[in-house]
Amino acid sequence: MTILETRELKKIYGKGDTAVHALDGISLTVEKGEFVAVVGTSGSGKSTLLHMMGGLDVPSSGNVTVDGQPLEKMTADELTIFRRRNIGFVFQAYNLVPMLTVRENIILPIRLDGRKPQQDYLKEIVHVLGIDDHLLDRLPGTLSGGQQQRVAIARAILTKPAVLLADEPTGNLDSRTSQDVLGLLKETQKQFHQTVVMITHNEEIAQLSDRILHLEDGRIISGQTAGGEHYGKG
Amino acid sequence: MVKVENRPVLDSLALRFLKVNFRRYILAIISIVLTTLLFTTLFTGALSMFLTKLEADKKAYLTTSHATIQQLSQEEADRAKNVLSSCDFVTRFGADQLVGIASDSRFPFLLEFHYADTAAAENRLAFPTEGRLPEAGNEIAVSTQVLDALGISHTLGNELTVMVQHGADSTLTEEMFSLCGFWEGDASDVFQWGWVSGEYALDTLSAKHDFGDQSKEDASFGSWTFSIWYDNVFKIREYSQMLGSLTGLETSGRTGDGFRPNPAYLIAFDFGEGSISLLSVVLLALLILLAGYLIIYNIFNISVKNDIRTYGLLKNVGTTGKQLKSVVRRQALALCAIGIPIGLPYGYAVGLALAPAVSTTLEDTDASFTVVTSAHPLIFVTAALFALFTVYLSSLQACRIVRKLSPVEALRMADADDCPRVFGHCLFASAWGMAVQNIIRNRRQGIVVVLSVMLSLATLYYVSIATGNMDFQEFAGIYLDAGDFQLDKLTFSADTDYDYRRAISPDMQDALNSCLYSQSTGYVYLAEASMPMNDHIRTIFENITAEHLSKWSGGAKQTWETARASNLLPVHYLGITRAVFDKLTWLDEACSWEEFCSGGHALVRRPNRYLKEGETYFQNGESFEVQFDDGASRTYTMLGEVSMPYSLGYPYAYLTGIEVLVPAKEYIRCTGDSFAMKALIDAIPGQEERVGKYLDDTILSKDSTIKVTSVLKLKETYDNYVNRYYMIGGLLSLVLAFIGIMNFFNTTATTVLSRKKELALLEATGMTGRQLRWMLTAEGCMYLGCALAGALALTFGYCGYTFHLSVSVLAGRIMLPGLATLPILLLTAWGIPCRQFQKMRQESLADRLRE
Repeated sequence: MTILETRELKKIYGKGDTAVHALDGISLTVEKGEFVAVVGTSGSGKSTLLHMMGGLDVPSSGNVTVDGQPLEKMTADELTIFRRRNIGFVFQAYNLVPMLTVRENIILPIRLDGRKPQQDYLKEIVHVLGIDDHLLDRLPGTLSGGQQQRVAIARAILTKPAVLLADEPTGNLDSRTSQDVLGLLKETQKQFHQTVVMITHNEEIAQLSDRILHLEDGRIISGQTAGGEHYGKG
Repeated sequence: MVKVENRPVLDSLALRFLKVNFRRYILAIISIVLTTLLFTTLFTGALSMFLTKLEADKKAYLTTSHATIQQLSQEEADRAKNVLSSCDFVTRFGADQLVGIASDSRFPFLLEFHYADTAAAENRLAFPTEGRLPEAGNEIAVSTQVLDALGISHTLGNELTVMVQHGADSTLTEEMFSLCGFWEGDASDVFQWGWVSGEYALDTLSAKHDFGDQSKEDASFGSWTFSIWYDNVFKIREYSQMLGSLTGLETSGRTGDGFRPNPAYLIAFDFGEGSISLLSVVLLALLILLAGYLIIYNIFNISVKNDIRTYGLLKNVGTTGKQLKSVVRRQALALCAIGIPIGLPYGYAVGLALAPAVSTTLEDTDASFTVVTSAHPLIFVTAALFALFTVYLSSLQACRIVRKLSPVEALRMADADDCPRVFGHCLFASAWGMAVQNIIRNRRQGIVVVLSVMLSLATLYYVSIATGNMDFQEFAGIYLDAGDFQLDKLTFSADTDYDYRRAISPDMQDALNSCLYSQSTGYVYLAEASMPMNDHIRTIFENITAEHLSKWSGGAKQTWETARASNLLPVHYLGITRAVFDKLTWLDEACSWEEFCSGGHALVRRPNRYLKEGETYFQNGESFEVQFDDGASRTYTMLGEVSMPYSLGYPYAYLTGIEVLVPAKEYIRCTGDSFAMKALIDAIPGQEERVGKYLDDTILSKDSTIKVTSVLKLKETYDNYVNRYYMIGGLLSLVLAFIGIMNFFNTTATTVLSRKKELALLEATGMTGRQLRWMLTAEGCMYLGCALAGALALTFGYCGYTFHLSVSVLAGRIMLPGLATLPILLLTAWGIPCRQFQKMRQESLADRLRE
């Protein structure tokens, strides 16, 4: 079942001769429960692609469908609400709200939606992600990078999003912690049947995924499943 | 879209933002406190001015009710009572009946005897505070003024014996009363009331009058007065007219126009005419709003911009723009919840302290007015609402910023360095250049800071110019147009026993003439006389009365009818001494005092209002005859037409008569009366205080009914008035300056901190601390310099236009405040940025570069 689809996605910055094609007609599909890695060098457009898929930015043309919902038809506020219910984000810089405790950060999207978190599910996530109970009442600034990223993952998946988008989730972490976090992402995919799209420039990290898409100059230049099937050109 | 209940999380977020930014928000709280304080002070002061004026006017008009109707016959009174009892909009009414008038030379006031109920007594500000209103027999309640005049102690049960007139026939009867109540009287009240019992009224009036015949001259004896209170003070006029229709008394009452609204209320609600100007209150409120807005706006903007990354994060995790706006709004409300309750009581206290000063007006020359203050809830509600509105306006831009924040933009802001835009090498190469560049970069905040400081400076300069524009001589000319000291008697009516024309006795004149500190002393004597009208005079007065008499009361009509019938025109026969002669203004060629005194000469005072251009009563050299009450007459030759200082003349308007001036000796010889109506004293320059003391010791200590208008008292009143401007203007400038400096501090602190890395880079590349401090000081100087320039331009433009003053005069007026504020500005421009820089430098250069 296709959970995320982009069609002829383009993002152009500037006009005329100075126009920069950050994304140049990207079409892809992601199946439910799949772990996809998007790999590319700096400036290849991978972050822009993630922003488009997550409804953080508006494409110049083309469209994005998440869980059957076309994003381009939504207003800004509708998109925000859709995002908090259906898309989870994990950023390189963790992006936790500094003045909220760990627990508050995790449950924030649920509370913004006027709901209460399911305590059992919250406990399970916290347990799976290895967040110690005593950390829950601390502020993010007092945690290590790895711990902060675990909290960011917990926040991202608590709403049971259709897709989890991770933008260089290990970019700020040392190699050991990076392995832990990637392991957790993988665990999340398995345990909660969570669809994950991860942006990275590290080919080695990408190997953990089911499928790797290579991006260059705003285009997918190759793609393969984890099993080695080729996709696109190549 | 499904509406969700997310208030708790928004509250929680707002609270967290507040906690994190609390230090920055302390400034916002102080600003809200100050804004609320200023609004509360303004409204407390304005209400105090309003109520003080209202109460003073009520006292002046001798009525506290909303409307009155006077001189109703018994039948009319019964009709009025029936209607008033059944009217929904009448909340209360009182009635009193005139029973008699006291005739006693010991009273320097008019004492009327009335039978009155509680409401009527309260309406006259004369309800007994000791004892009660009379209930039976010859009981009476009077003020302490009456008791003092009679030499009776303030003890209930004391006997009072007074000569009373019960009708227009001037018959006096000696009446004995028993004191059943009294209240503290006011020496300045020229009307005093004696409340008698209904039984006494009935007995006395039924014995004297037949009320069925209203054409009788003494119809006012036994007549009824009603005082009425309505349920809405804004409808006094409308309700009074309605009452007129309902009772059929539209043309009844003393003035023939039915129920009359209390003029005190009409003046009070006629904004701009009374002492309170709605426009000035609105302008001050706008000024406060602007000052509060400028700083709170800046604080919110800086705060939101500093937290933009966090707002972006919230947006990314699903907080809508509306929710973010709500978070900012909730912070604003929380700050108001702290600031407003603090500002309200302090503002009220300041308002109370300022009330006596702000309620002083130039008209209050006797300074005996009572300041009325109020703690009406409306003051606090209005001030709180204004403060809330100010904060609401101030947070609009911050709300807009977070609402429109796009998630990607927020992420970029979080990652991007603050890269300054470069405006050319020549600018960047020097400390001044970099300062200019930074100001341009932060121009929006800069404009707010400049406006904020400018407002304070402009207010200070305006106060200085406006007070400089006040002129004591001009003010004194209105109230003291004849001399340094003017003496006359407290007056109330031209036709009572108490003769205002015989105020200064010969003994007093001797005493005044003996004053060693006076340069000149003069007197004005006044007697009633008449003159036969020739055709010219008769024609003039036919024309004058035809044009003006309809606007005058029945008394003037009666006077003119009598004059026309007898062909004898009333004359005010005025005797003047040399000092007064020297104060006259000649309308044609002046003559000398010696010529004036050479015998048979007289001057005529020109009534500017009634005579037509070019018209005169007599030609110079023309003869006219003055006839005196004793039948004697004297012929005078017209020497000239003059006008005399208002304060030396007859104190009432004079339509049907001529005022003739003769030398004092001639006056005394013809009338045989050497009592003067008025006296004037010009002190030897510098000896005013001694003259004042001399008058206190020799005149006022012996006769308290003498009224002295003195240059000293006037100067005190004037100084109070000017001080009011200084106090209000100074306080306003001070608060505005504080707000401006806080704004400057906030902006400077923020820009220094936000440029921490940039400044560290400059330091790393070789810029010394001294150079960096100089650059920051240059920025401060530019902000404050712009504010100074703006304030000068605004003040010069506005004041030049309003007061029609030249640039040099304006410059002279603001020299002192300008010089006084300059060091403060320089100190601020240097001190605040340097302090911030010093704080920043406590971190190592490496740490600052790493951030």
